[in-house]
Amino acid sequence: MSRHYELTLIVDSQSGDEAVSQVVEKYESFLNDNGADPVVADRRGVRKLAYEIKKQVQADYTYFQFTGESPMVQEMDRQLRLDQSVLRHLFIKMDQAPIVPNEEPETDSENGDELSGEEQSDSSEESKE
Amino acid sequence: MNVRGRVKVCRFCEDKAVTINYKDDRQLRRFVTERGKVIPRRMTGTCARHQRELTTAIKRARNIAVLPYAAESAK
Repeated sequence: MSRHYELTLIVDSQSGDEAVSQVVEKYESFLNDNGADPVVADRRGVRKLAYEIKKQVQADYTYFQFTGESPMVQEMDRQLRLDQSVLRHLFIKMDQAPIVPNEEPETDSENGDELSGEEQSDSSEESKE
Repeated sequence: MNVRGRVKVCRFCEDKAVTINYKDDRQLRRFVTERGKVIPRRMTGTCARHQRELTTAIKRARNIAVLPYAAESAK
């Protein structure tokens, strides 16, 4: 049975934008290759951390919403834990399906900074758990 | 944010459009003290159900460094 998930990915931004994009894209394709559908990526860019992680005061945030199988999530979790460039990650189960951007006209008030990546210029951010 | 001395209704019951989201630090910050502790229900007026959702959200937010675990001004 597949489920809806939301993944927060915090990547070390010290190695530069390109390296960050590479890491994010790596996991995005991991999701796509392992039967997650749809995968909605929401790149938020570099954000200040509330506390230091590995001596870093800021890091790159990306949110993924996807629907997939639990073994895939487990495997991804394992890989994320081993990845040095990933400072933090968090999987959340959602009760609603991911909303594919262009069919969601609602805008959210909560998005603070306009640092989102090029692959998704309109950040239709949905809040639900 | 001191709301003592006045009966308050739950912010989330009042306005159904306001949802609790662990990624929204600006909103969550209203429900934690400067030191990062969760503010009790009796002070914010939040109902039991929403307070429960709030605590979960706050804990998630701490995990992803959106909210601090403890005192922010720690130098």
